Amino acid sequence: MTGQPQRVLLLIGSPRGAQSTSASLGSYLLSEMEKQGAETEVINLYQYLKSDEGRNDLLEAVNRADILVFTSPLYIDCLPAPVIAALEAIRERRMVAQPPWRQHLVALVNSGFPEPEQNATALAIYKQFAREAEFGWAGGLAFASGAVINGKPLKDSGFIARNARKSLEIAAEALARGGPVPSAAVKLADKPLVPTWMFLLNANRSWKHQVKDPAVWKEMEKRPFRKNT
Amino acid sequence: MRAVVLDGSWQGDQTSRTAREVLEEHLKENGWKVRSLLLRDMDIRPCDGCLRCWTEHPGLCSGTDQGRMIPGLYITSDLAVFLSPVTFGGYSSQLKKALDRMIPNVLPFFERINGEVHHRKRYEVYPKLVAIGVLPKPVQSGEMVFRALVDRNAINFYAPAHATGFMYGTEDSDTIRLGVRTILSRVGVMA
Repeated sequence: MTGQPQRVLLLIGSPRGAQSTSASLGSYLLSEMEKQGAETEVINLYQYLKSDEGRNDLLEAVNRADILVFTSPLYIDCLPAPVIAALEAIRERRMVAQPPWRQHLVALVNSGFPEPEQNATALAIYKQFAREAEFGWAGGLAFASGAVINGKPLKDSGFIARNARKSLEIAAEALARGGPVPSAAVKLADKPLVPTWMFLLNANRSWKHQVKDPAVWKEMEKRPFRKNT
Repeated sequence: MRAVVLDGSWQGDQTSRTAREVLEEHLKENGWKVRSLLLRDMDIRPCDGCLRCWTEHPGLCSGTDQGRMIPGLYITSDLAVFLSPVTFGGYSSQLKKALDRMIPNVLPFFERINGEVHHRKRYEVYPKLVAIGVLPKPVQSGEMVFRALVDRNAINFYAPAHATGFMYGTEDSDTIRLGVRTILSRVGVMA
């Protein structure tokens, strides 16, 4: 990376799109990079992958960028299927042609679990993608307890999101200077948003509010499938 | 005994095809009922994260496509096999579109297990898990990530036993046959 103003492409890989925690985290990083002079563009992968036209637009946008920022939730210990489909398409295109300048990749992963290390395989997959598709790996950040943010803008998420904000601010400054995500940003992202006991208490209670129908609440542990012996 | 093979391969991948055929053959010879799903030919849309499988009709996906049947096929099996090209160290998008639809098989509630928080079990018993990664040739970094991913899935899918193996495009059918037999024996399926 050169330290010159960067063209940064944010790729949101959540079915909730702009309303997602993935978008909250990615948008905050993007706004911090804009303060450093970056030009930014945002793509919702779920929308763009629905059509050939969207897929082409995605690949063109990738070719314009200096830095790609992927932001996605943890699904079954890795990336959601549409994000993998996007990575497959990007690699396929890059095997044919790629811009003459060195492009870099940053990944943000968030999960519903309180331990950020549960995101490690997802970050490792992004890193492996960067290697195989010939992007420079600029680092990744893992955020836990995404439900605490729950899609709210990070700047409006109060005290609880202070470490996430600071982590992204440090990352943005380093990326704008042409460096990778610093370890200080990684350590701050790794700090649990809430203690595990509090997470368990609140997360398990919260379902009572999300289930509107009392009859459904009584059947929460229902087993609809049985083995035929 | 029932097995479900989730085949996430792409058209033209002869190694995956041979691996699947050998798997089916071995299991059937040993009295297993095998259901193989060629995922690339199925209408399985991405999980939209609606969570209605937890909040409206517990344990059942509200989708109307073929992805709706994945959780039931999985949980009523004694053995599940994930077959996939190793894709950046993970699964192909074809396999992953099916796996993303499996969250109805756990509860929304969390508990701490071995010091780490996980979704609680919905069912008493879950299938054993075998994952076969297919690559043109050995790629150490990708294989390490793939193994780690399967280990994580085995924890979160409550697999009572699991094993990971790799097949390479350079291998002949006898080598693939031996590899399949070895992987199955590691989860106690066949001697």
